[in-house]
Amino acid sequence: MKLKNTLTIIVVLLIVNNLKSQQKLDSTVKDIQLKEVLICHDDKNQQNEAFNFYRSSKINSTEDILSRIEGVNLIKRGAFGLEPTLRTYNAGQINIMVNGMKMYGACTDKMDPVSAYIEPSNLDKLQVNQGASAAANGSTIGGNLNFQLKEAVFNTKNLPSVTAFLQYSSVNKGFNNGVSLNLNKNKIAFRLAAVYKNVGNYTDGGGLEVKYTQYEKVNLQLNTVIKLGNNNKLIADIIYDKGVNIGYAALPMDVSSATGKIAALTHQVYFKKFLNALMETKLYYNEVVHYMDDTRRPETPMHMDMPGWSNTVGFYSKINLEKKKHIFETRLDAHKAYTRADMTMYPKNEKEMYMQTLPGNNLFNSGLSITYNYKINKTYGFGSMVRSDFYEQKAIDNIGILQWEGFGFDVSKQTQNWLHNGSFWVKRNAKNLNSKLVLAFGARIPTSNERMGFYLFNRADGYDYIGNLNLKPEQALQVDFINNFTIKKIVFTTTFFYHHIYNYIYAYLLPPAYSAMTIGARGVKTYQNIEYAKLMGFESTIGFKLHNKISFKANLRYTYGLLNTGLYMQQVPPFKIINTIRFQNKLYQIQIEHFFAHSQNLINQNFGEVNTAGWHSFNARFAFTKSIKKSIFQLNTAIENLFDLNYREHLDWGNIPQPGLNFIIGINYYFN
Amino acid sequence: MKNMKTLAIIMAISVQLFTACTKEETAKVTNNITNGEVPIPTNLVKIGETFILGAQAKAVIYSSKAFFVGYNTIYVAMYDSASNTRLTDGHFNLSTLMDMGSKKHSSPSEVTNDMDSLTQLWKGAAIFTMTGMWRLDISFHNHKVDLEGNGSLVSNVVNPASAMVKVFTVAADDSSKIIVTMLNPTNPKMGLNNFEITIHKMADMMNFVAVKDYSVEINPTMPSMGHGSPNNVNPTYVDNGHYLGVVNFTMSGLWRVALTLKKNNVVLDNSQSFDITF
Repeated sequence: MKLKNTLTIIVVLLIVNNLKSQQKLDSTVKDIQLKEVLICHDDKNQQNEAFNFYRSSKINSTEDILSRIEGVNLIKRGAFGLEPTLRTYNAGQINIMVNGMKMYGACTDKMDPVSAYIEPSNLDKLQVNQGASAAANGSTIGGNLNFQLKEAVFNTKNLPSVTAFLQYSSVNKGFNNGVSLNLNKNKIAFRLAAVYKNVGNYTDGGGLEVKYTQYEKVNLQLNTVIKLGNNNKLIADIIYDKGVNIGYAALPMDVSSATGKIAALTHQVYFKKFLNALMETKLYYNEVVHYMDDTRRPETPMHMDMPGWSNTVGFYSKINLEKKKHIFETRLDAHKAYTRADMTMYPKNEKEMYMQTLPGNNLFNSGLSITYNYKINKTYGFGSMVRSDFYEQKAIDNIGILQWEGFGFDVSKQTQNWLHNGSFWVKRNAKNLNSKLVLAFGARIPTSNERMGFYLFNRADGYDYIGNLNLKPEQALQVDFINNFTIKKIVFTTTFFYHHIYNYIYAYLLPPAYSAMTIGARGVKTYQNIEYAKLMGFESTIGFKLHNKISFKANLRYTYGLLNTGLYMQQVPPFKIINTIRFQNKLYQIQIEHFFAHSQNLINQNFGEVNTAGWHSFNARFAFTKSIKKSIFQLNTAIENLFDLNYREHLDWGNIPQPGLNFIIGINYYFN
Repeated sequence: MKNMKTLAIIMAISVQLFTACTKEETAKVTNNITNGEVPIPTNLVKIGETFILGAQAKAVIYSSKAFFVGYNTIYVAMYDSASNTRLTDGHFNLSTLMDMGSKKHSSPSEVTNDMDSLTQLWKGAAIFTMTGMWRLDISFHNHKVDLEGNGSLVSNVVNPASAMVKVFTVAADDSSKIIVTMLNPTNPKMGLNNFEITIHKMADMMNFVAVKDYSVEINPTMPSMGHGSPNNVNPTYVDNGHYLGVVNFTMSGLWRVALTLKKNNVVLDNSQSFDITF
């Protein structure tokens, strides 16, 4: 059993750990990363701790951090734009947000999840809330993933504070460089950040080049904070992110350019005297323009253009109130999104062929949530969240409307939904054991693709997909049981969950008359609501610190998904463990990481899944820090995939192997 | 699934009904009546004119565009040859002739005997089966003076961008010469389009019979990609050799609509197709 091996390794690591702890080490350790003060009330300290822990590992991408957070897995189609999943929930089942804003990727093939437009060096924190109980920011059954971006701070006196990093990785001859500048004067502060990445094709374990894994991107952000009073501020965010020449090894096409633009204006005010009231209101706009590209693929039978657009305008307003044993939070939000995707094909000596793979459509959503927590006494507490949402969606582009008329659907008619989410929890905080039992009910509307996507090719199973306007919202009843043991310096957290999903949206095959559009596609599928699906599993984290010098974190996750038909749910990750052990003192930091994934044989063949073998992989990182006056230099080196293992994760599409042995060298510079 | 199909059929039928009522879309009328005379709709093109000798009448011939190989709807305005005022009472007929010197032949044609009261135009159609100089023969019974006569007009017929008439021999139907003409879609668009054809059988060089006992199956495909489309409705017989169905275009570009002609469930021919590009 592979599990046994893993346990052995954990034990070995523990022994190593103990040996190290024998040495008397300096007890004053300063975490090198710049921590900034948060204004938000957040009871997710533990999660933040994990986020900060992994971020300070000096790893490369948002995805690398995400993949280490418990319950988060990534669907990989190339080296860029990995799609986050929570447990197994993905796409429309979860809400991915940037600073609480709704944003929609513009690619019908999910090449550009919102996380692709965010850089880790600009991330302040990552808020991952699993399940339907996370619906306070938007109706969901799978949870909420919010990328909270860094804010300009008022900590520099006269000089600007600067951070810069340069990094090179051997596996893809990749450069990852960035700089950020913080300026403040009187009542105004700016944070300007730029990141540039240029990455070639990576090589797999064994040294073979994996074609179409290259990308190049630039990310620019400007954050402005204006103090209107002591506890009253205005925050403006502008983000520009552009990726070009992005390879998607597992798909038949690449991306020539993907551009995201985000603008937001936030007002935060805090009244200490009045119920600790914290009010936040945000107005925002974002847009994505996405162009697919097949010109670099020799196997392309016919050249085609597949652009996609999304733009979203919205606002939210939330108020937190606290009085003694009561915490009350309410959020009102609304957004309107336009999405559209086109396909134009260019046959030889013939007129070009055109259609809308996603008819141009408007989606409007407005929702109100109320969250209430009550502390009965020191030990017990309970709380509840309710949210109601109104959605309406219709196609507004005539060509797309006519296309669907041919299938008997009037997509120009408003589809309206009222969705309700609710959850109730009880807490017990004892000396060594904190427990929380959460019962939740959630719902989500079908995605635009599921409703009116038009012959969207899915490389995973080789079928063209068309939408079904008659889909009902997907609903779920969920139980999550969270326990947090603290024994001396060891913290052990475990969450068990059991989710029952009603009206589960699942694909089925249409008769051959539906005639697949994509050359080489095996047929046409559409979606239906099946009676139910079940999702269950657990996540655990074990962490401990010794003398503040050695820290260890292990996280385990397992998900099991079953449909009412007896088939396994698709894209369910196998049992996985991530062990990280870190030794750190004033000058240097050494970190060893071990990843283990069990084989996954519980697969859904309808979705084109194949069995995935289990694997172990190891990374080693070393960082050395030197301070000169106000400057801090940090040298980072890493060896990833230490044994040059050739492997794939279960959620990697198209049998594309993961990167092989990789040497990384980088320099970080801080000036304050 | 079942729902989708029924919906598609209902949709198709409603489209059919709807367009059946507005088929004469070319006869758009402006209500400007100048000098007490009904104006000629502006979307019509004048082809030519001829005196109807013996009927004290002059015919001015219009169509939606210059004559082409295919189904040409013909509108005729009749005038009193002396006063040049519109005639509104009479009977009208038309036929075609291709004179190639050594031999002559006609082609299928249609007439509506009653004048359209709104536009005061007589309506007919000629199916030209080849390019060249065709003669259009018009006969008219002028009820005003109760006289009958004939006139003719020669006009050049050109090829359309893609063939709209197919003339071929069907061995399985007594080796008859069959003429299949596509009328619609004339302005193809995305999604559902009426698909209308006429089928005529050549009785002899001068006579053509509207075929009513065939059944027609259509199969649209995009030849450069090899895919088809769902929810097409096979044309069924309406009247006067016309068959009406629905074709579903899921993309713009070149579509090839293949025809299978059957009689009593026996395939007569499946060699013909129409190309439609939009």
